[in-house]
Amino acid sequence: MARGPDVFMAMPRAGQGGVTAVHAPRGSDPSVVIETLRLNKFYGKVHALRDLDLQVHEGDVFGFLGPNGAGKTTFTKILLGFVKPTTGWSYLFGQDVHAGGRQVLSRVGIVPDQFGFYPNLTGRAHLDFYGRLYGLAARDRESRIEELTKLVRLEHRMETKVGGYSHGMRQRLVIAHALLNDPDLIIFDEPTTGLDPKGAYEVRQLLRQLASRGVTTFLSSHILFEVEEICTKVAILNRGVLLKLATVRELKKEFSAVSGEQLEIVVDNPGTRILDAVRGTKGVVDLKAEAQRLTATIDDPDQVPKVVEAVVGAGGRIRRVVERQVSLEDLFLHYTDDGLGPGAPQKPVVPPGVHQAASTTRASRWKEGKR
Amino acid sequence: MSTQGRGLGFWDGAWQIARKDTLVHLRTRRLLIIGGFYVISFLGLALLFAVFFREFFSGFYDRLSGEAFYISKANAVMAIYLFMPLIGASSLLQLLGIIFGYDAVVREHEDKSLFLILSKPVSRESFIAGKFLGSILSIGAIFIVLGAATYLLVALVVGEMPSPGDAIRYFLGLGFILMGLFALSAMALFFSSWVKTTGMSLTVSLLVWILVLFAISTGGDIYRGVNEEVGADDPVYLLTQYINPTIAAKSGMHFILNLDALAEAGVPLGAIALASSGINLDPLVGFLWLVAWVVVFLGGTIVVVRNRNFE
Ligand SMILES: Nc1ncnc2c1ncn2[C@@H]1O[C@H](COP(=O)(O)OP(=O)(O)O)[C@@H](O)[C@H]1O
Ligand SMILES: [Mg+2]
Repeated sequence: MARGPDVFMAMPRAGQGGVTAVHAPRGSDPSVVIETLRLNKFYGKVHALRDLDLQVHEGDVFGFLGPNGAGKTTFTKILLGFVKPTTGWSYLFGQDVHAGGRQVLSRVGIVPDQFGFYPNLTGRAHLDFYGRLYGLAARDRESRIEELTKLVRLEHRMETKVGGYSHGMRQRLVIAHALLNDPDLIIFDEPTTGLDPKGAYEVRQLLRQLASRGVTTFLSSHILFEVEEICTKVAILNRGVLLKLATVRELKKEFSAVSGEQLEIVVDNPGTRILDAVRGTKGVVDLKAEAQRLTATIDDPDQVPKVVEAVVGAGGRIRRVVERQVSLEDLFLHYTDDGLGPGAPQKPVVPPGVHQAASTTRASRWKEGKR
Repeated sequence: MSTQGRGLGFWDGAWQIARKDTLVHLRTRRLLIIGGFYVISFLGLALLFAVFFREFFSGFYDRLSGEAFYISKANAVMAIYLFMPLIGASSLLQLLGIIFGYDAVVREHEDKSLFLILSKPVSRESFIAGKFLGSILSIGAIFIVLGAATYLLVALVVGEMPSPGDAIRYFLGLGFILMGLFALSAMALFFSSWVKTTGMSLTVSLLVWILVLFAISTGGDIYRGVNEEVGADDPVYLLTQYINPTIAAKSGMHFILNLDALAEAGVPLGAIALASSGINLDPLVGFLWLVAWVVVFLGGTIVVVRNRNFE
């Protein structure tokens, strides 16, 4: 994406504050941007959210990960006061938008997963309207629209009716709309779904750019690598239940301790001597051999050099060493029972496009390695 | 943070919604097409009436004395020309109220543009007020053009400008009809706030308008027709008449034209009398009824939208 002008006038905000699933009394910590307490939502008999306790802190780049139907959209709609929770509470900056705290919405920007514009109005008319709804003065509105349309590269389509926009252009317009008020919190609900690879790439670039400015970002997505790439913290939601809430690093560490790290070594001259040497190395908990390829499972990433030394010491001529990092995809599958079962995702977890190539390679390699 | 906006007050929010809706009505040409249709039909009606009935009414000039009538003698014919098409077609005019109300909320929901609005610091009450304001702005704009054009056309045909008093009465009469439109628009807005599709909203609004409102007032007429002892001021009969905002609007027209006095003077009112079946209604009650109608439906809409989960 072309570099846009600097539209983020807000001072960079420090990204600290841990993610915790506690029942902290509301307002006790001014750095808590999003907070929910025992949030439940029923759609008839469908229990879309179950006892959700969540905190997002100032500066977090928070990934909200879950398969389709997990309840992500329901959660964002409740946060913004559009849908009422069946029981429980939700707060934005300590304010309850369901109980008269709507003014706080002037600090929030939203990119919904589904939205509609007015086909007969121009792009500019739309941004002007939403700017007015935020209560922006005429001069602020104008300068903001000017900057944002450049940022999302719609400056030449501002006078065209939105009815003629492509899906990608509409997505860029809705992102511009969400930034009009220079938000302190921006919520993206599956912002790249349905975009072509280039469009999705551009949106992710924009997300990264925003996140690097310290704007608290809440990214709801079913696309794992997107969250892994951009987010620092992640919550995993499945069928309305919050399964995990931690930093990406913590999650990976925990997972490699549970399932081990995979080290793949390809040697020219496989043999039992080499196998025995590797097996005898500290930290190796499992070893599989398949033609020239050895796959060792180690419980401590620091043991990698030792394993390599053992192979060389046993006379092995190493052609290639691949250390397979635990990806969020592995974690996700681990926590969501492969995301299958009743109420499972309707759509494939990885959408078509460039990222498919990247992710499926990783996923299939992982599966190969496992078997 | 200066550029974050200050949030919106009630009326400011309502005004932004109304402004947007008017813009959409302009861009989709709804305002132009529907407004054009109405203006042209009414000009045609007024013209027809003026041309065909001018001579007929001229003979009664002498019997009208300025003192006894709300209509000044010189302009009596003209006033009748002006009001005749409006009274006769005021039912059709009510449709205008429904056209600019039935889809106000439900379309935003159907087209998924509602979330983008309600995720802003605008209250739902303000949103509804804006929706109503937007529809009465569009209706009002059409009505002003329609009224002024008819007025000018009739003045042209009759060949003289009406007295200031007649002009005031004419626009007062228009005000009554307009109020009736607002009532219908508030009703349609109410339906648009709790149904799931625009089609459903239009159907319900039209059905209530045609079946309930006309059935009740016509039923009242029949009830009075078959019962000799039921007079024009029978409370049950009156209630059936007030129920229909069309008739309540006509009561104001009747007052302003003073049709009773015209009839006493021997002017054959014919179709005029027929069209103003609310002849015995108190215009003040009629007006208050229309106001109550707006308040009840607008309040109902706010209650529905405030509590509705748009899921
Ligand atoms: N308006 C609705 N009516 C009934 N069920 C709904 C509605 N919206 C969502 N659901 C159900 O709630 C669950 C969560 O949906 P959603 O929040 O859209 O999930 P996600 O955004 O994670 O895909 C799903 O089982 C879905 O079918
Ligand atoms: Mg969703």
